[in-house]
Amino acid sequence: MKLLSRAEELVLLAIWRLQDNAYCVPIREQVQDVSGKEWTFGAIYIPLHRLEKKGFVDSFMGNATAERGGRSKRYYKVKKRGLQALAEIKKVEKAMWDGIPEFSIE
Amino acid sequence: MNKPKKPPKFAEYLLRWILPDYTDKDSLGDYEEVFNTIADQRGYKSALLWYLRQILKTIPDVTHEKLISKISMIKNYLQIAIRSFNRHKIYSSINIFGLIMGITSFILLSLYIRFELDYDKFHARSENIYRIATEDQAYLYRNSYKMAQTHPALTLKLKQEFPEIISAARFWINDDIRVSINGDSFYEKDFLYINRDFFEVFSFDMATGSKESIFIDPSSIIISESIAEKYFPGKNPVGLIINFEGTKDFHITGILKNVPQNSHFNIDFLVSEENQRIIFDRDIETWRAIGCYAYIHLDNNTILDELEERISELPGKYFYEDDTQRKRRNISYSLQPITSIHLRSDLNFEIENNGDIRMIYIFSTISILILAIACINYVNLATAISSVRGKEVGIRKVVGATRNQLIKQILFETSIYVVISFLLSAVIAKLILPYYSSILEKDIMISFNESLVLLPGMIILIVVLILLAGSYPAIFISSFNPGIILKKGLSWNSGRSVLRSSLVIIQFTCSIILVLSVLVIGYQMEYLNNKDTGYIRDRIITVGIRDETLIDRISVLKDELSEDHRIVSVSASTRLPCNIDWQYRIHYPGMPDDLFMSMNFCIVDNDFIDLYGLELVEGRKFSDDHPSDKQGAFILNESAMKALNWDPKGEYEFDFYLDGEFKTGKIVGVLKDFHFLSMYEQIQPLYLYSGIGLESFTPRFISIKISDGPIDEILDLISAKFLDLSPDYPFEYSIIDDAYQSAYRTDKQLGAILRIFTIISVVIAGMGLLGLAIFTTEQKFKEIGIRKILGASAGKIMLLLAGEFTIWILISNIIALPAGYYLMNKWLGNFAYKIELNMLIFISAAIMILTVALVTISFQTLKASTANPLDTLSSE
Repeated sequence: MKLLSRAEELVLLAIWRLQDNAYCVPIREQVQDVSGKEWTFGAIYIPLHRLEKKGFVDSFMGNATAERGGRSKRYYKVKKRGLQALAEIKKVEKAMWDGIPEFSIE
Repeated sequence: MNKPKKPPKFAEYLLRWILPDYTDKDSLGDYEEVFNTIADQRGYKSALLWYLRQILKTIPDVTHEKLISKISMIKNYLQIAIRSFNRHKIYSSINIFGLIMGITSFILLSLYIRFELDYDKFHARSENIYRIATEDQAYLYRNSYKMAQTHPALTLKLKQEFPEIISAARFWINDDIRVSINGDSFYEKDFLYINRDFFEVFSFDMATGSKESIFIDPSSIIISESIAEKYFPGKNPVGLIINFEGTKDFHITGILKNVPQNSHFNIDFLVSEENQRIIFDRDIETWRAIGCYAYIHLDNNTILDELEERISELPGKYFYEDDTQRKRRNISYSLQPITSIHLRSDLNFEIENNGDIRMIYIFSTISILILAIACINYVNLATAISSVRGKEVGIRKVVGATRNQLIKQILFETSIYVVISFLLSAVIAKLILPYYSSILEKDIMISFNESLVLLPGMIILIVVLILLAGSYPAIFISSFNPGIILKKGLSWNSGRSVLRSSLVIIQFTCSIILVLSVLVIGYQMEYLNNKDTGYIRDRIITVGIRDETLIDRISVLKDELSEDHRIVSVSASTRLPCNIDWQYRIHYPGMPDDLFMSMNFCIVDNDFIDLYGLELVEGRKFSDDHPSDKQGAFILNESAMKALNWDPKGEYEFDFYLDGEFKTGKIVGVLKDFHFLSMYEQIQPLYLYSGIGLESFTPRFISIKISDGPIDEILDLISAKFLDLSPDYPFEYSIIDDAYQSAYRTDKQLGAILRIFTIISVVIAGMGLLGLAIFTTEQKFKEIGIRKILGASAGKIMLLLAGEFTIWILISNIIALPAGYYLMNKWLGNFAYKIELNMLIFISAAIMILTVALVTISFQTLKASTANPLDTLSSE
């Protein structure tokens, strides 16, 4: 199985962390908080769609609210395969970082 | 919480348009939610800004994502295109070659058309600039006279009378003046006397110096860059002196940037109009004569018809002294948009010979025809090849390609062909351009910057070509039923040959029409060249007289020249027989007293008629034996006698209005009609007047008939004699036949250009036919082999192969000939004297095309019909 891309990893983790409240607006905020950079919605949608296509996440429609102009929210949920992918990437990273000599950036 | 704020509709549309794949209802909701939050915290404006920034910043993310999948697709398409090119090298080269020739022709023709249509558009206000043309009607008996010039007084009144006229420029122009620089004299043209509004109306820029300088001091002059370069190469001429006609010194105060070539008048020298008064003592506020050109800059909302009418009332208001004059004279003015002068105006006293809008129509038609012929080649060959590619398409379909994908792929292939051909054509066109402009005598060069302006046009052309050439093959090929194709294969004649044959017929119809036009134009030009003009054009040299003092010494000059035995005779006249375009007023007994009639005329001396070999049908020539001739006598041509309804044998008197009074004279003879205008025009009434040297109409030309022998020696002699008598004036001569030929220059150029493009179109169509012939024979190889084994002769097989093509071309002939007849009859309508369109021309055009076609395909059919059937049949 191909490894997750960094963007996919960030988005997938954000969905997992948000649990029941995982729709695009908080996902984007979450990713922005973690990475410290501004993300456009487009940059979120692309990995999100990819994740969905690969079968890592599921989506379902939520309720509509007035501040969304009557449009409903699309919620995402991490599937089992998604969790496996996360576990794998974590393993790879851990292996990468293990035993690396100490370094610091000023 | 406030009422939720909505992002504007247009922004949502924009978003949806840019990112169709990533905007559905719920994602728009995402955007709106954040928008709403920001609007609450920081206001509507910054929310809107955020929204727009989102859109912009998303584009790179998304395109990147999309490109990756696109690239692999394009790679695949490219690979297939290259493979198919390699497999069908002959057809592909025919296609590329045809497209290159077609597109190159199209580019060259459109550059010319653009050049012609762009005349005078470089003026910043060109849309609101109009020239005032004058029509003089009622005081003339029977005819009216439309001129490009106006009365000087008119322009002075315009601005004060009509607020909608923002500025009114006027100028006089001298086309044959002698300027001396450092003691050397030259004849120059385009010497303009302008008023202050000139620079308000026209957009001419200075290279150095100020435009105002010539109005501050009337003895200042502005010269053009080309004149500065010609006379003062590498120097700054400002402050130097130019002498005008040996009488007046002008000092140079500025240099004008060269006038663009697509201006209907050129400028080499500019001085203030005051000089008309100072040098020529001319009244520049008169209503009595015309002579200046007037151009006005109008307010945007002017109603032209109304203004024309009101301007035409001015002479009545300021000029006519009483009612009889008002009744008798009927001057009206009309306004011509400056941008239409070059192609649509043909008045008397035009500044330059203008172009012709019909030429533009002809050229545009040709350019489109050639392009169409090239596209048809592509369509035909691509669909023909498709039968070979049927299997490829079938397998693609079976594997799961949608029809859309197939169409895309074929269009992509077409666009590779078109884009490559276009790029090569652009390079070729650029290389050919210098030769092309020299044939047309127009500077159609194009700079890199200019070609960028044409970029949108080029892209449109490319897209149109791709669609024209590619859409039918794409739809056709993608429509294959994979089941049938894979099982039975696709036969070349599978029901589509009706379209193919009609396309070939269209191609050849176009080619035949072009060939026919070239033939007719060629014959007509030859006819004009050989037609007897009624006067001699052989071994006659003409010299223009500029030195006014020479006019008084004409008889001395004539005697001096005649001394040499190589000079047969010498004559002085106001005009030359190839172009007697001056008209003047006459009056004759029996005509209403207060009216005039306008007629072409030429004032000649006694030798003129003999020198040019003009024939008399009645009466006698002017002669020294009749001293009364010196006082003024007339010879009319037959057309004039007919127009006046006079009997050639009768005796008549005739009045010639000169300097405000009538010179009365007898009519002593009647001249056989000769062509004193171009062959476009009917022979007009004409009178010759013998009173040479009489006041205003001084002779302008000396004609010298020389005997056989080396022309250079005689020219040296003539030049020496002239310089002896008027040393200040450079000697310049011309040969009368050249002057005669120059009238047909445009049509000759048209003929040359048409010939080139006709050959190109025939070649393209021929190549297409060749491609089809190769293809058919390849498809029929087995059939031919079997037929031969069964006993068919080579001749029969050739007939079988060539028969279809011959029928196509015969059908093209049937369509093309009537169409060509109609078009050529229309073109010939411009000429007063023309050839009759006979069957022979049509038959020769038809045979020509048929021969080209048969020769083209014969090589291929011959090869097929003589091939050994064993070779063709043993391959399986």
